[in-house]
Amino acid sequence: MRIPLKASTRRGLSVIRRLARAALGATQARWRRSIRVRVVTTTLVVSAIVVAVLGVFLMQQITNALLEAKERAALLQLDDGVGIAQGRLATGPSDPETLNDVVTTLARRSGTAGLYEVILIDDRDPGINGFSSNAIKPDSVPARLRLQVERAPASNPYRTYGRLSYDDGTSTAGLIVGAKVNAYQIYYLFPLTQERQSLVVVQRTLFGVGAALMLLLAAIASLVTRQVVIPVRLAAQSAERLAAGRLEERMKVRGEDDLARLATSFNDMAANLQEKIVQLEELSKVQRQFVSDVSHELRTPLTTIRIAADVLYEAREDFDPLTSRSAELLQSQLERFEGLLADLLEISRYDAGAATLDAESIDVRELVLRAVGDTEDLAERKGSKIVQQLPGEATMAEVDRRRVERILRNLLVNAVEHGEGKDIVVSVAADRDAVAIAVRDHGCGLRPGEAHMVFDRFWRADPARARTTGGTGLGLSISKEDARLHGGWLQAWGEPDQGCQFRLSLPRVAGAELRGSPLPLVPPEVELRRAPYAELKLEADA
Amino acid sequence: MRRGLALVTVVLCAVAGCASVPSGSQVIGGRITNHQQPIDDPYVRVIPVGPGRDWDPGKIITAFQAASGSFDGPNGDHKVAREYLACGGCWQPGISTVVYDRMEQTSVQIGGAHASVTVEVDQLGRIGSDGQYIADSHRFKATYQLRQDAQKQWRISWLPQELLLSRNDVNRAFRTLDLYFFSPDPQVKALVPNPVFIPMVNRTWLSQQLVKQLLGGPTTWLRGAGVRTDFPGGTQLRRLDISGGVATVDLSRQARSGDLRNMSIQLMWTLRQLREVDQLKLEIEGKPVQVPGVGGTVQSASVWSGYNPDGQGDAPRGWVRTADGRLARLDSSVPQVLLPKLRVSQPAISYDARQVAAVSKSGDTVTVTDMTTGATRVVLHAKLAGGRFCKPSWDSRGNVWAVESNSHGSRLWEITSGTTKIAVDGWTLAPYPVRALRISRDGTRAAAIVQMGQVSQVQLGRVDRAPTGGLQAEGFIAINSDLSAALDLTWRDADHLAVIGATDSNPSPLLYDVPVGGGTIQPMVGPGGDMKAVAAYPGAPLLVAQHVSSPQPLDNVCWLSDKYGEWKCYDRTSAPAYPG
Ligand SMILES: Nc1ncnc2c1ncn2[C@@H]1O[C@H](COP(=O)(O)OP(=O)(O)O)[C@@H](O)[C@H]1O
Ligand SMILES: [Mg+2]
Repeated sequence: MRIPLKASTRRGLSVIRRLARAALGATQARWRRSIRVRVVTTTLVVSAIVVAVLGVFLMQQITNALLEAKERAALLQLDDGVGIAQGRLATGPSDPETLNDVVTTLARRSGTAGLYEVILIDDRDPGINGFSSNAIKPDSVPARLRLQVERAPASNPYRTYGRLSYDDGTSTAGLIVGAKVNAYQIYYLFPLTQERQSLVVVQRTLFGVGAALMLLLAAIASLVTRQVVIPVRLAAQSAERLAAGRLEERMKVRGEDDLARLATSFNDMAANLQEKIVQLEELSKVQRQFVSDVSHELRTPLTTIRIAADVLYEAREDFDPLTSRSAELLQSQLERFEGLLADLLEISRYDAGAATLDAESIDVRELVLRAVGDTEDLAERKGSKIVQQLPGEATMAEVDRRRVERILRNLLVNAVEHGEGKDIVVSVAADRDAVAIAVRDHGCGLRPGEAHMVFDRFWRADPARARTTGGTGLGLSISKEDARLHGGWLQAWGEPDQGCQFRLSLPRVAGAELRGSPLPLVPPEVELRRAPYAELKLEADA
Repeated sequence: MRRGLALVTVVLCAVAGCASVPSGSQVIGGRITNHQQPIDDPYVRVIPVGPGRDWDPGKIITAFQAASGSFDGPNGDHKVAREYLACGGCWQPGISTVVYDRMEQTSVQIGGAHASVTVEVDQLGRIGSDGQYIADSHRFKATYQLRQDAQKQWRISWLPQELLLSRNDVNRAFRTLDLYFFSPDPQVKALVPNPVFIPMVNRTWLSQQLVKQLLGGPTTWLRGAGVRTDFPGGTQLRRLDISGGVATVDLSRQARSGDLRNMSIQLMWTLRQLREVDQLKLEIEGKPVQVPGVGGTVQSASVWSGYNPDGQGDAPRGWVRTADGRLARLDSSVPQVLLPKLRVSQPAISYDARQVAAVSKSGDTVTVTDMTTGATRVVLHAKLAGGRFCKPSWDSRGNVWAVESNSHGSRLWEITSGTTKIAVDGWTLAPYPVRALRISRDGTRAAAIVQMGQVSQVQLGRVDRAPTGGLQAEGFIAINSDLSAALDLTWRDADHLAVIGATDSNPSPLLYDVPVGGGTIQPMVGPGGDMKAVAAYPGAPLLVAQHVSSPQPLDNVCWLSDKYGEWKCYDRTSAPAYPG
């Protein structure tokens, strides 16, 4: 049966449960993360088990020793008493007064501390069963002991443990020894109060010492792990910093132990790494310089060659067909060469870090319109139509006009070239922080993994075809650098036979950080088709 | 490596040291237990058993007698002995206890399912329901009726209401303790002990019963002496707890109207007889009360030591009469004669040691001598025909008591302020010759040796004022039926007498310690000669006058040196006296 709980109680319970769960979670997390917590806990548990086992064993030993000593003393006392009683009772059956005297004498010998009580059993007189000292109840002598003593030969002592009960209703554990003297039985009853007290003291001491020992061990474990863990933690920190690119990071080397060796080798590794990276950097710098120099050096002769080629090209009608064809070829390949050289120069400017942003506030739609205007001819030739999806109002952003136009032109040209004559969609969207321009075509698309490679220098999906389309393979690389200079993103999506979409996202304010894009990278219709419900729906439509 | 080995050795040695007991140490004093256990002074009880199967009426009665010697059950109401009865409630043995010496069954008559058993005992005395013992030796006859119950077992259907206990049963099952009351004379600061017999049911019961009896007031006998108690009527004991030497007495609200000081004095003196009590804490209705003149709520026994029934201060010197009749003080090994001109016989010294009362040589006059001036006055002449005075007795107010007796009777006189003589009217011993009379220090009781026919008995009487205003000495009771020929007596302290006397079983005179409450008399080792007179004072050595016949006939007074436990004697002296 469930007892209905009040809402407040239930709420309280759930809070408690949540807190407990949080605490448990935190503990688990600490357990997983901290070696020290693990080591200390394990030490505590193990030492607790050891201390408990040891304590129980010790306690048993001490109890046994105490009781053994008590038994020995008790038997000696009884021997004494039996001797006295025998002396007094030797002369045949005795009257109650003698027995009374004997018990009094024996009880007196118990001393002022009340070491023991005496019971003398005499079952020959009617109405009286013997004598007992002080407040002890006669039924404190267990029947099993009485039976033994009754049956046994005279003055053979027997002992047992039992409960001593007193007149005032109290009772304590006790040792009972007894022997037969003539026709009488004498019992000595020793309360074990003193022994109990001693044992309690011993037990308390053991508890205290055990707890102290456990805590001490835990403290030692904590200290030792701390000594080990702190250098390891430092090493981890150093490694993290190194990974973050701070190559000058080094560990402090203290002493000559294993940890010091770890630090030394870590430092060696860092030093080697740094050296290699610096070398590589130098090397690439040299290469870039070389490319830049070569490009510059090539420009002057190329200008001369260009002038000469122009002359030849103008006069091609005067040449024989073969020569005229050569002049044409020279002209077109020179154009390609010029383009390549321009691109190379642009790239090397980036590599040298000399590219600067010339930002101004412009309506992005205007840039798009212009770029579309530039490529419309080419698109017509290829049989593609460029569809524009522009927002109604001006979408202003602080951008470098030349660079963004270059990006858009490049994207549009690529789309036309790879668009296989199908429609190309250019869409623009903006939100509070960013503007995005997406160029979508329905051409051959990209194979999986190529979406990243398109931005690599000189990368082409089909190197053989490239010659004919006349691209340099540097267009997207430069566009990417342009986008990055704005603090924006240029990303590609493509699937085989689904076409491509390139998305340019730019912050509205130059230099601001970009957090998201107003347009999706994957075209919505593709995304929809991917969702399982959408597929079902399509089938139903069919 | 070597250092490690040394360390291991050191640790091993330390561990081995832990496991050993010390073989030498400083000398340490003190008890291991910090307060006295209530067990000390053990007591012994009989283990009673119920009736056996098919016992005959005679055996049933014998067994019942034996079992009724045990005060078992929660209130000492003889639980086991009642198993012999056909009716549980028809026996209320609280009324009185007959103490007997010997018992015999004189007749057993069985008729069908009924039987009657007659028992005869030599009665020694009776303990009243208030605990007062009165010696009264005669033959006592008791008849028991029995009938068979459904299982054909004999059970007692009618029996005497008294509890019959042998002398040994009483010694074992009873304790004699004093209740303390104030002397009727407000000038006297000392307490009057009232000895009572209380059955030893168990230790807590005993102490509770003791306080209950104290609250209940003095025994009927002592009540006649006019002693005062400061507990308002109806005061009940709510709780008595004794632990760690402190007795906590919780009284009911009636106690509020009583004098806290006086109640504390009575309680303290009564309870301190129990060994386990050192201190007292008085509560009324569960709230501790602050007693005026005591710091804190816990009072120690020493606060009220001024009310000692035995008086305070150092024990005084003893006095003796030298061979030439002079009075000498026992200052050193040779008695010192202080008044060379004074001749006395039977001297009695006043409590302030300034005056001495004596009987003339012929025995028919009493004189009082001022010891500072040496002036002697004859204060009393015998009035009876052939009347002789025995040794006078002082009380603590400075009055002299002297009894004059001839062979037919006696008269008691009191001499107030050393001059005025008053014949005490209410003198119940008038028909008997009196051989000795000693007034207790508190002036409320008189111990006397009374000649009753052949027997000279030790009796205790009260000294008080009759309703008419006259002094009276009455209510004399025998306190012991063993001593049949007493010669002299003196007060050892407020509740013990020292008596020279003979018993039936031992006709030569011995020195006995006699508790006035009626407890067992104890013979004491005497100096060895033919004892004549005895003098005692609390805290001072006992003085005994004796006559030795060898090596030559001689009278001397001997004192018991407590240092060596042997008697030392002053040759050629007699008539020993302490103040009183
Ligand atoms: N819209 C697109 N559809 C399919 N492939 C494309 C598209 N745009 C670029 N590519 C691939 O990326 C390669 C690199 O393009 P790019 O850097 O502009 O160089 P180029 O156009 O000079 O070849 C192209 O050769 C082509 O294979
Ligand atoms: Mg291109």
